[in-house]
Amino acid sequence: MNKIYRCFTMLLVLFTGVAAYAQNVITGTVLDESGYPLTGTSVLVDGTTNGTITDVDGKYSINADKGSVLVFDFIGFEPQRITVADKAVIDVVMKTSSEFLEETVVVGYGVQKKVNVTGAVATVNYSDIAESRPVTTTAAMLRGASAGVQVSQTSSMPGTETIDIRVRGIGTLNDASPLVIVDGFESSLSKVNPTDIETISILKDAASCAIYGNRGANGVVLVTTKSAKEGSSTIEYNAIFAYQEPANTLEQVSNYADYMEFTNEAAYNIDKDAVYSQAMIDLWREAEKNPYGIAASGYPNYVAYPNVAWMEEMFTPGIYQKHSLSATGSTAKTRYRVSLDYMNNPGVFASMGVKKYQFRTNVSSQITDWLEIGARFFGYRSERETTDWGSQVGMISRSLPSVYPYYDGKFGWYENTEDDAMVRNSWYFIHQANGMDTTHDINATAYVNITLPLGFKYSASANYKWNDLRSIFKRYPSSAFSFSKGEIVYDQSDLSRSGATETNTNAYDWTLSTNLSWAKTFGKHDVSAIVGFEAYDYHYRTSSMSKNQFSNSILSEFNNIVNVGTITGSYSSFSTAAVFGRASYAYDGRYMAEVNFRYDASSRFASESRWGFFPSVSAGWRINKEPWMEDITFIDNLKLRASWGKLGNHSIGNYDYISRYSSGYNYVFGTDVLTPGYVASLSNNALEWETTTTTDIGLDFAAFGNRLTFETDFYNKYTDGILANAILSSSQGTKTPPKTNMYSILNRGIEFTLGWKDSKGDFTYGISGNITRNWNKVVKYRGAYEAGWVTDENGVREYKTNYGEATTATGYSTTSYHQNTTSRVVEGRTLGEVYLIPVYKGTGDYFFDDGSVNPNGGPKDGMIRTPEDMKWLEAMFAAGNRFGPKNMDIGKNGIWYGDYLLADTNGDRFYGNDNDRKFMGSFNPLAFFGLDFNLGWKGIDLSVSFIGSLGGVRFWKAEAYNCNAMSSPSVTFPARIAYDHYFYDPENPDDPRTNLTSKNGRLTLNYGAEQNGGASALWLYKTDYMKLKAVTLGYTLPSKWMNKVKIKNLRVYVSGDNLFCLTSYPGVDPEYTNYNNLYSSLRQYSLGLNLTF
Amino acid sequence: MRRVLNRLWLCVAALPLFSGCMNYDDCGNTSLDYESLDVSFKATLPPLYNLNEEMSFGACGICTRGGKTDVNMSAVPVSKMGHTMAAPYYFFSKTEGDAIVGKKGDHNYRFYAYYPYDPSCTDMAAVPVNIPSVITYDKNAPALSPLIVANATVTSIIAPVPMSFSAPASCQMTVRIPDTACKVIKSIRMYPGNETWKGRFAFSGTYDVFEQKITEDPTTVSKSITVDFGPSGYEMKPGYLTVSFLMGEAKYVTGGVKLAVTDIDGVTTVKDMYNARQTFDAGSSYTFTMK
Repeated sequence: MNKIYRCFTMLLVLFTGVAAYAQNVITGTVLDESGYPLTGTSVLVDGTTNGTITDVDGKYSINADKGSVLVFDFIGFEPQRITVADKAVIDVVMKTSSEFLEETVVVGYGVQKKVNVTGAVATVNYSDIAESRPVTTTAAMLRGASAGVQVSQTSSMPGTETIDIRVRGIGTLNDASPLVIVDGFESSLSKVNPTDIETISILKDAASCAIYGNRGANGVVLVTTKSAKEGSSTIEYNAIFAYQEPANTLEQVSNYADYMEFTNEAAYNIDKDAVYSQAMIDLWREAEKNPYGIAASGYPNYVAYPNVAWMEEMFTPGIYQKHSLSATGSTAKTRYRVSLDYMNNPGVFASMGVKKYQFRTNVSSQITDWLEIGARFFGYRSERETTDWGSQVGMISRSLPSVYPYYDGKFGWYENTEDDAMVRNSWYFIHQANGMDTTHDINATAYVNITLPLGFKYSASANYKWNDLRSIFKRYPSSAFSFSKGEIVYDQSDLSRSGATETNTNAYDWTLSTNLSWAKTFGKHDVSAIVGFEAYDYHYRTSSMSKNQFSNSILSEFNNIVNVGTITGSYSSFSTAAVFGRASYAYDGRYMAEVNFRYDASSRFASESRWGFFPSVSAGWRINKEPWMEDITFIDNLKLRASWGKLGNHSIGNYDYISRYSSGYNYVFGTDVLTPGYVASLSNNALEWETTTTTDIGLDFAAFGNRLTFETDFYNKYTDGILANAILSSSQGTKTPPKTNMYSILNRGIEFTLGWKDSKGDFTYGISGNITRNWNKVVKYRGAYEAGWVTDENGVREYKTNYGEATTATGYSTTSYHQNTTSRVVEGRTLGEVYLIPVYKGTGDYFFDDGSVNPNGGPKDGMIRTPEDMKWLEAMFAAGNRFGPKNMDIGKNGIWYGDYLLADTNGDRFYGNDNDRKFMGSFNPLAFFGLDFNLGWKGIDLSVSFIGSLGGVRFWKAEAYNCNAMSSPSVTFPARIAYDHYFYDPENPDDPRTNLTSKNGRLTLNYGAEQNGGASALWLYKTDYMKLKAVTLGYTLPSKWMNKVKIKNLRVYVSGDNLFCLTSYPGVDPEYTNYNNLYSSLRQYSLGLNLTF
Repeated sequence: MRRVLNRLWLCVAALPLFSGCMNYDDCGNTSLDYESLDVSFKATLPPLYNLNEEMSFGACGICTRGGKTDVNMSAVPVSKMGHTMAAPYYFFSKTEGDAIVGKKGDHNYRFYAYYPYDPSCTDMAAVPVNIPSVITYDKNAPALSPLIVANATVTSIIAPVPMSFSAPASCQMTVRIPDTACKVIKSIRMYPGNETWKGRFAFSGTYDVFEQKITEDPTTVSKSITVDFGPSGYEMKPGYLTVSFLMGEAKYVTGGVKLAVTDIDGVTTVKDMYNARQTFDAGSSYTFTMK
């Protein structure tokens, strides 16, 4: 018996052993391409139900027979099939599925498969970009990222960085910004931390935007913030330190002795006496030789007799830093993500920095298999230092080299008594007042998703936003000091000059949104639909108070300020409501169609015309899915799509459709003086939505395993009924005219996006680029512009133009007369085209053979340079010609050597008057582009991005910055003109200053009356540019090292932003539409790390 | 290097597909393109000068054309030109035959004009001038229209050619005679205080518009100007009798200028008008009020 038992046991063991041998325990680790463990990867023995999932370290263990196939599957990665052989350890590196990346796209009120999208939607993978850049604004990261989307940064001042986003051109005379939706609710890109963003979708055509109806007319930017991935749990820390400096500043004359000589020359050139004495010039030259010598006042020479480069003094480098900490995690039912962010950007100008603190959390929980609830919360605080920069921008030009900004606790003042009394210390004026803008934002959302039977899903969400801005600004009494004299010379210590202003602005809004959706697949048919309702209510309140005269120089709270100034306040609100819906159908993944609609109402219109209906239709055809394309296997996707739709815009005031009353004017009735309200503006009950009708035809192409991708779109976007103030006759008095649906603008364009990416072993690379060409035209305005010669019944010709009736000024409001009158809105032209007088271009010869003057002769570039030029000019005068823009005679105080002539475009013998103007392009560029390169090898990554635009122009004539004429000896000179300008004195042709070849005109001290002035193309510059937007070099440490210290990922990098700009535009930045903006864009050199554990 | 890069990429970027209205030739104000063009004129008249609806301007134009100098721009030596009657005063040809025409490529435009047009004048170098020495008073006579002339050199004929007129040979004298001078006036005579004065107040002759020179007919020269009121004379009305007439320019009239007023009975009263230092400039107006 024992023997039998032993044999049986032995056989059992043997069999078990054999069995054990035949069904191995296979173990291993599953990683992604970055070496990061893939938790939750499914490991299945093919053809069986024997499976497991990887643990938090990516490890797995499974029993599998030799020869069986293990299938490794994880969402977003290509499945892998590995046959079990002799090895008991099988490690797997999963490869990202490019098909998946295109598989879904966030669209309005949902997510769609990319291949099924029939609208024009661009997706930006934001997270990769944001982690490696010292981002000051979220919107700035979109520059060059997508065709059809033009993003211009028009200011770099911390906390007030201004970004203009235009989707397919400017389609209205009102607010042309796109609608920004963050996690389903309207918000602002400035309120989203870049490191919290997962993706951004930009909806460009009516098909994709129609479901947003009223505010989608200018496009929609959909932002999706990060949430926890299923099965993952991480803590991430990102830090960036950046050294930042001004990318460009305008260089002015910084040597004061040179400045004095230039000023004397400018005076001499118009027959005025010299402003500065030789003695003073010599004094400065002498002090310059020994800058650290001590002047009689006891101060160093470089302070007492300064030579200040003001732009360099005002703008100094700073250190930017940003820290982001986030934690994500998930259980079987609940996922969460919490993030904290701190940013400190001091900018490049003292006391104008900003600090931001942000908190965001996303939590969702699958309570039951049919009920999901969630909440998102965002909190934000911003502290922005303020100075009196804004009021002094125009005065910075009055800071001469002879003024030392600040030394030994004192503000300097002009040191030379020969200086004009208008000379200023801008540093003093900017910093004698300061303040703080403190902003708080709260954004809270709660939602519920209910999965119903038969494929239905019900969603409801509520969002509440609250914003509070407190702005406090105080002006302190302070004086300025002469370091050469050693005494106060500008005494403003009187407390009556002090004061404070506080402004409080509060806005809150709530949104309720609910929808019912349904999706089903029947064989080859994919059908889905959604219908919903949304209501929105917005309130805004502001109040402001000011007092002046502190009771003493230290206590500056309002209780300690003596005199009450002003107290103001206002309130406004508006609401919208909408019903929306979409139906989509796709057959066999080949043929797709979609219908959207939105029925919108806005309180900004009267009840009779409050509602607007905005439909769209679109269709797509995946050509590569056709049977006859089956053999062409290298094509992964070839899709033709088209769309048509209407969108609305209500970007006007909240109360424009009704009459409004004002007060504050006196009326005398008999002997009584009353102050009744009066009708200040007229009403228009018929006011309606602006409507934009968009047509789009697009082609998507991908080949060679999605390594090659190409997209192109042609669009036609017509906006009608643009809301604008009507034209009133003078008999209707001075009331504000009502808004009326009056004008039309057309944008038509073509977009190209091309990309290639590939990998060879450990080496990966990619290149992508996009370019957009947009044609913009004002189709309907105030009637056709007419200009030309009209002949009457007697044969007498007269030049007539309806310029004043048919055009209006537009562009960017500045204090400059020229800026406001040179950009026009006119029917038939591009919006905002400049309207300028061309510079005269002569043939280079002067007289005909018979001795008469050649009216087309003279200087080739239009400048009177030589005695021959002058003789020709004199003959032209003798022949009855006149020369604008000032209609002056020949002479030093008129038209002289070194002056440009303007063209006689209309042939009336008046060279350079208003009837010679021509349209010469717009500040809107004709085309804009982005170009990206990226390389990777093992853990090293390199990316380079370029952006640029073509075909834009800007009129820029600013005293002290690009002009050769100055109004008085209180204004500085631009260095590039001061050191290279025309000079010729016919009475002294051998003067060593003689320069006959410079393209810069002669220096004159008569700005505003100079020949080289006026609205002429002499000051028209192209703003074509190409910027190296960013270069980033990063290194991800090997996971095998990091795993030993329980770190999932560690990447360090260096990056440079805005490293150089190729442009011929001499201003601060070709992207800046306001040339008065001297706050340079920032060049940043960053060091950072991304840590995940 | 930076400049090279700038230019290089700008060249690449200047793709025709992405160019806009770079020439701007058709964008805004434009000139007139022509093969031939009728010339019109805009006159600036002397102060207080009035045009007569019945009268015309005479004008001619000369240019260089096709290498030839001094080409007449009209089919006739002197073109008759109509005119507007209110400011701005334009004058222009009313018939094809009188048109002054410029052609593409012409240059060195010189224009000459005079007013009032005299049909007998066929040469702008001999425009008739007439300052009579004896004038018969007509209370209904139109305002005086002395010869006025102008010339202009221009480089373009698209816009009306501006011409500033002045009287080259005459000035206007206005004499105011009180009703107390006599009851019925027979004549007034203006004459130099010294008959040996070598000048003249009246003459006939021609004016060379090109050379701006007067040629007098010596047989018509007179040192005096008489206004005759007819066989019955003119019965004075209360107030002043105002008589205007043309006189030739004159300087330093020896013995001054005197005015002799003769009544119907032959009684003559002589008054001193001006002393010898008085200058009478062409194109000017003078008024003497008799006391």
